[in-house]
Amino acid sequence: MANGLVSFDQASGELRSIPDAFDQRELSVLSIIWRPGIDTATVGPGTAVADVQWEDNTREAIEVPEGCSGTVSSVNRNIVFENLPFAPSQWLMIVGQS
Amino acid sequence: MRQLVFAGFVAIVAVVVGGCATKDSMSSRYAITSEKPDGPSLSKNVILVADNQLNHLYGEPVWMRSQFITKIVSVSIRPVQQDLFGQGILRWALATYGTRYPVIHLGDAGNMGCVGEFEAFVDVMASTGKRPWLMAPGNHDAYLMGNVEGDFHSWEKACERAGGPLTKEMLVEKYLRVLISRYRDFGSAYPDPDGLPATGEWRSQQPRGSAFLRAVAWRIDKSAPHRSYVVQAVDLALPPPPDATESSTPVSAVLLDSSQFASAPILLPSGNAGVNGDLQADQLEVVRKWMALDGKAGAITVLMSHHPFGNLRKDSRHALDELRRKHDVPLYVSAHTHQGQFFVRGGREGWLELNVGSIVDYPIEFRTFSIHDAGASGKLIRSPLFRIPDVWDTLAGNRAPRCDAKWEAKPGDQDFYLTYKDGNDSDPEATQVMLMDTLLHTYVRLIDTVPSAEDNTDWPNLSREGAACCVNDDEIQVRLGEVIETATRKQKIDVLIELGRFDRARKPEASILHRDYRICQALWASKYNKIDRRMPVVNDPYIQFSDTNGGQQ
Repeated sequence: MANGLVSFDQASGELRSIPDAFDQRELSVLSIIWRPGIDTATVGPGTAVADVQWEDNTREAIEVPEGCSGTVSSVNRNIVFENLPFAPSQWLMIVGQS
Repeated sequence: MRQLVFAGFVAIVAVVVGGCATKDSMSSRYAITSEKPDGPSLSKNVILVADNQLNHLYGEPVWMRSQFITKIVSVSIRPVQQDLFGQGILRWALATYGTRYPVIHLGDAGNMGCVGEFEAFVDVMASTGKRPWLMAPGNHDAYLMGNVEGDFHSWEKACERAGGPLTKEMLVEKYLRVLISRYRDFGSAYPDPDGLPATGEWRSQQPRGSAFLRAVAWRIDKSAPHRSYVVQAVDLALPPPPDATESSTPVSAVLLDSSQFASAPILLPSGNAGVNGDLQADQLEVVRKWMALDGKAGAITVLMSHHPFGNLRKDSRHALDELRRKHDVPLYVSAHTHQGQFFVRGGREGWLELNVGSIVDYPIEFRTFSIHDAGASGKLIRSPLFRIPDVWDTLAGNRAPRCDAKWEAKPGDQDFYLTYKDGNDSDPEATQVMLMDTLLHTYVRLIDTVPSAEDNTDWPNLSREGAACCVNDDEIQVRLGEVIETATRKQKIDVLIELGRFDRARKPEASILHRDYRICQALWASKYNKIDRRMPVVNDPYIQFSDTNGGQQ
């Protein structure tokens, strides 16, 4: 986990939000902005796939955690930002195993 | 020949009616997308909430609240569980989301227009903690039952035991005091709330993006309360990013006061504050000035008010339409209908109005609102709908209430939600007694289902004729049985007020159960009241049935 905001589910290939990690931040999320070309990208541990835009207008990269590598097969552009601090976690993207 | 003329007439009518049936479509300026484009947010994300109708239950009977009148005006009475517990839904929404995002309330915080309602509302809004909140006044906040300024006798009766009527100039003054207490820079401009001038205008000196309340202007008119207003500019811009050399995109909202009238609203034949909203020249002048300033800064400005655009009086519509065109306003946001929806306005111009539903009347809902960069496509309005109870199903654990069907009052039960609809009594006194009895039975079920903790130390004083009471739940239940059978209406009201105090102060056996039970009662009451009977709605997935009918109704 590069910055502790996401985890990777090996079985489903899903990169998922970690509600507690968002809950512990003092700032709320305004947007998750996918990096250009992400829909067809090949990613591995440490790849920055998106940026969290916090309410103070700062941004923080979401990096692919350890154990995750492959080609992106699906990206969620309907994330309910308001619910990121609450369980259950939300799927953010699906990575096909390489 | 006569048949031919008739056929021609029918054809003309069909064309005319058919033509009228074609609804205005939104213009090509707008497009509905199924996914959010990848651009950043340009604005703060705010919670839009409205029409919680906090209702004072314990006034003296008034003609507007009888079983007969509620057949004509359905919202003149709501199920008592909605009035008693409904604010718990707003509290939940604020505690869950309002502690994380600023809140804009679009009016009708109160219902009868009583001082005590507004004070209780401010207490509910404290659930946002340190997060800012603002409100645009609604017609129910400062007119008797949202309708009239006259009929002071009825208004005083309705607001007995709740601090009396809250007239419009009182609302403006009390609201400004809230702003003084919550917004440091506004408060420092008016350190003595008692010294607020009758008219005023204040503008934040903070850099754009750092304040929420950007400007406020008001008029407190004691001789003509209906001319009083409070209008606010909300800074929805974000602070500039840390590494940026330029400031962020200016985004702002103007919270209009659409309950400002040239003459005192009356019930009939026209001029009812519930039917039409209005704005006067002094308020509009301020809005023009603010929007001109925003225009110079290249701001995206959104107009917000309690009344839908279509419910505004003609002159106000024209004035706002002119501003909308001049400043390229992409959206008008309103409330009032208790039926969240979008409106398309302006005929071929096809501009959009977002109407926010009620947080207490079914379908119960609130939304968030923000503006995002959509790249080459322009900008994006992001406004997801949070509907109760659907949103509860999306949250795990005890974050959201869970309703147990066993808690529900059924037809035939003395606290059944729609009991008040059984009968056509035009006597408000009889209606009031019936409502108080239903409330007492509501408390019987509450205490039965959610007992007090063994170590609870706060008990109600329900002593009567020298007989002290009560120090445990069993004693309360016995006492309530006596009260229902023998007490007068006023005695019942006294008991109910004390029970309310007790229930807020006591330590229940399980606090989550206490929260969930009360909120679920309000939800069922609201739902069945909307559909006028106890039955499922189309998206209810599960309907339980027992093995035998057992002669149930």
